[in-house]
Amino acid sequence: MVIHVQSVSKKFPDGKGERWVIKDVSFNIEPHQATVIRGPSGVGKTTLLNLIAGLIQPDNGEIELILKDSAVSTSLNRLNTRELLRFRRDHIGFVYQFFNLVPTLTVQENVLLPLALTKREHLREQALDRLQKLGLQSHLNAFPAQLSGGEQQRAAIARAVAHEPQFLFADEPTGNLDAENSAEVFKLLWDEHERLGTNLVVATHSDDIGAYAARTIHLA
Amino acid sequence: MILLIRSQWRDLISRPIVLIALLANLVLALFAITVVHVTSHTLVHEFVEGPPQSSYHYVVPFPDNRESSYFRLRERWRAGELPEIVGMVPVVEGNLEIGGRAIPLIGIDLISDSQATFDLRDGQISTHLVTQDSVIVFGEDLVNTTFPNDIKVLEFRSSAQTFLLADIATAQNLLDRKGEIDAAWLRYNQVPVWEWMEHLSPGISTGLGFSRPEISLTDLNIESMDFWQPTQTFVGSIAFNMGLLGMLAVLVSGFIVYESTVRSIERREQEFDRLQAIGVSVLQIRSVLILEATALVLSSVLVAAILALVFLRQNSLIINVPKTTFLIATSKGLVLGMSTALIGVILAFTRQLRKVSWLVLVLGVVATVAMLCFGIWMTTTLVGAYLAVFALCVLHIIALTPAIVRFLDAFLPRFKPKSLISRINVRATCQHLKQAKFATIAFSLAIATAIGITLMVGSLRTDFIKLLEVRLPPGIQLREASAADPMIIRQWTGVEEVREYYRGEGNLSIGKTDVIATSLDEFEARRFGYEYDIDRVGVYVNEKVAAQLQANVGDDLELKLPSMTPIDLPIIHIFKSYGEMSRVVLLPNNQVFSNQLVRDRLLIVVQPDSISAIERKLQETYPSATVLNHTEIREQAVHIFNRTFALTNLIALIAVAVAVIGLFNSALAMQGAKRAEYRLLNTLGFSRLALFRQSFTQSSLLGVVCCLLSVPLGIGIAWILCELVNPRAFQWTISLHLAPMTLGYPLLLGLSAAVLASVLPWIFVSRSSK
Repeated sequence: MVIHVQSVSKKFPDGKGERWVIKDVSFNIEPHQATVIRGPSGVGKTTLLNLIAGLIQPDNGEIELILKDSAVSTSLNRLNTRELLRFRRDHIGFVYQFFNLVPTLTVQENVLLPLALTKREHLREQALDRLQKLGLQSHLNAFPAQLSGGEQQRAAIARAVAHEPQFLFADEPTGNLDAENSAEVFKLLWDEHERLGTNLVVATHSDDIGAYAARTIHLA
Repeated sequence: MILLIRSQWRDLISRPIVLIALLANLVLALFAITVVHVTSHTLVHEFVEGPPQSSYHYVVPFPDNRESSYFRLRERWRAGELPEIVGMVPVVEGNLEIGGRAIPLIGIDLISDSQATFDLRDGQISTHLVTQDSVIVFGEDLVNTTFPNDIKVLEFRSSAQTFLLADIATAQNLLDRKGEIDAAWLRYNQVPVWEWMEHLSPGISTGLGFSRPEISLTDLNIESMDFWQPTQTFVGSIAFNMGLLGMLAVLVSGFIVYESTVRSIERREQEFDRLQAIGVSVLQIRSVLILEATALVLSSVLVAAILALVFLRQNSLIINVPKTTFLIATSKGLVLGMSTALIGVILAFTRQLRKVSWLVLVLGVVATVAMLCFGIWMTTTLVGAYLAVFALCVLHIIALTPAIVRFLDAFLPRFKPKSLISRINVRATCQHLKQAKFATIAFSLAIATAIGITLMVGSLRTDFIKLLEVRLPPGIQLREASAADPMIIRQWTGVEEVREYYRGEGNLSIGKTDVIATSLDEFEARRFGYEYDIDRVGVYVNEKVAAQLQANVGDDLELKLPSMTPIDLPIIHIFKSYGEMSRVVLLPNNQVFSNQLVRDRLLIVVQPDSISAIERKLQETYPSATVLNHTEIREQAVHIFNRTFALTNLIALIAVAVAVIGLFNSALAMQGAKRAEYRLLNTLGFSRLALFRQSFTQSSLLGVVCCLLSVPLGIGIAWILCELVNPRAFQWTISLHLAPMTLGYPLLLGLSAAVLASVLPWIFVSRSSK
């Protein structure tokens, strides 16, 4: 087990009151397991993904992530802001539905940004090779606004895996794409998951990823 | 329509910070308009109302001082010459020694012009003035003065100028000038069209160089009263300068409203498209936005009026704010505010207007350069000088700023700092500059004005202090000193020299002048910045006299002192006299001149260690005289200087504040759009501190670019203020001093303001997205 979610709940302010978006959710994810979180709109898929990625903190419950080659689990709840930030920077890659790239950096620069932040400059060549394999070699110096939606998502995947994180999270990565591009993006995510041995968790409506996923978590 | 208004209202209150910023920006601009209008109106009217000459429009001086000259003129007028003149009074003027000072006395024949608009407000006073050999005293500073027995005071009246008014016979008697008449004052039959404009913008007729038409009569010189009274022109110029500065706040505010409306339209573009799709017309959408602008301006006017009233009362600038003036000022603010807001909204909607073709742009630049040249070389009016400032600002808006933004846009993507974070910062700044072009322009305009004003005031201050240092050497001045005996003072221990100054009023061909007679020796030459030459005899005149007479060193000056035939003396030096409202002529002292003037001042040069002792002794010996140390006078003069420019600095600061709010608004809109970018960077591992640092760096870069943009325009404005506005408005010249400290202050202010205006929205956005 590498991800352990125990009785996690999260509420948000709603008008004058509060609304529980996630209530008492528990599950485990095994090493190198591709997992899909599914459910209808508004059920809390994105919130759950953000909780696992340490982007927000739960109101109740515990989330533990265990790193490869480490016997000790890291409880995200117990990390302070700085530690959480460092953990996220070093070990997590994230792909959003849209706005995945820094608009003022070129494609190449966007991909190199995580390497600069994690001081893993030695991965530079691999990261650039990956861009080439993703068919973005002619767009290396283009800004995100100059790319199509599919190209932007491919670049986003290249950026998310550039520093070779142990966890790769994707929130509706194909929500904005047509069927052909969606399939391509899912395949890329799967390939990177396979190649790097990362733990992939995807929140999606799409059925296409189901073919790749080893496990599906349904939220209702 | 009601649903649309409701939707607009909800949208407005859903962004309270934007709403408050927009309201604050309008309130500040309207506050500036109201304060400037009331202050300048009061300033002008303090000088214009009161003196009897304000009811007359032309002056005919009689060089021979004979009553017969006046009667001949009157006869010609009765015979039909000068048909445009409807009233005429004979005048005699001179100086009376009262309380050791030379006080001007004006004697007019009240019976000659029964329809005179100069109103003593009391028929009885008028009768008493004619029949009882009395005078009316104008000016608060004479209230506690003891008048000689031969002067019967009928009444004391408050006035900005100090003088005595008497019936002509009484005046002739008191001045010992029986049967003499100096001039005739003439009243014109029509109120010029431009006079009503004074109510809208005090000082505008001075600024535009308006004057009544020239009238002529063979053998006689007819001068305009405005020219005859330089103080009125002086305060008119101050009022005009302040009025234009006040307008700057509205101009900057206009840019902000425009920018804010464009942002709002862009933000709600999709919503407006949907509304149009379901049948809402463009006119309806525009009407709702115009209604919103109207509501904002109306509420701002109300707040600004209250603030202005409180400010004016608190700062004792105006003790009694006249209701009508205040109403006019508020209405002016309302009209200007409404026009600015409506133009802003309409322009924001008319997108095709925002895209200007190259041809139009080139034609615009050519026309603006022509306007600049016209303002500098082709016209000598004050409005010409401001036309040049306006042209510079237009060039800044249409040519310089867009060119620099384009250059940065083309150059910066090629500039690749090693750090990716630096690349983000540089490019984001460039993007901000492009997107918030109008807020950037408004901000750089405001900073440029602040630079221009600060440099001009700094230059004037430098020259003024230099002038004070030489004009006021270590020594003591004894004022109202006619009773003091220089011979006795000379014998006191520690006294090195006692210098005598005889003062009074005289007439030049262009009007009245202050006259000072003293020994024009090496000492005096040093005080007035003249390289002394014992062989040259003549007069010193201030720059105002030289400019108005268009005279140079070497030209002859014709001066007329009371009861004397005009004297001709060459001008040997033109001296600076900053802050001096009047014309000043310095005559070499001799018996003839001094008999016509009052010796009311002594300058006592003392050994440095004896200053206090001599000061004490003077106070004890001459208790009715005023003893002033030159160091004290210098400090007082600098204090008055700083106070005079306090309002100017305040208006410039208001313009900067309005621009800062604009920058804040645009930064707020952009930070909203950047929320997604911050989320992404946070996911990638940027801490809040790192994000703040980034926002701070981008803001600082934006501030630096804005400040750099404003430097050339600021220096240009300062040059025009020094080289054109001051000589044209006040007839004095200033050398432009580009002191780094003086330039640094507005730049630092601009930089800090830009950083603050851009960083604060980041804090709001990051708090709301927590």
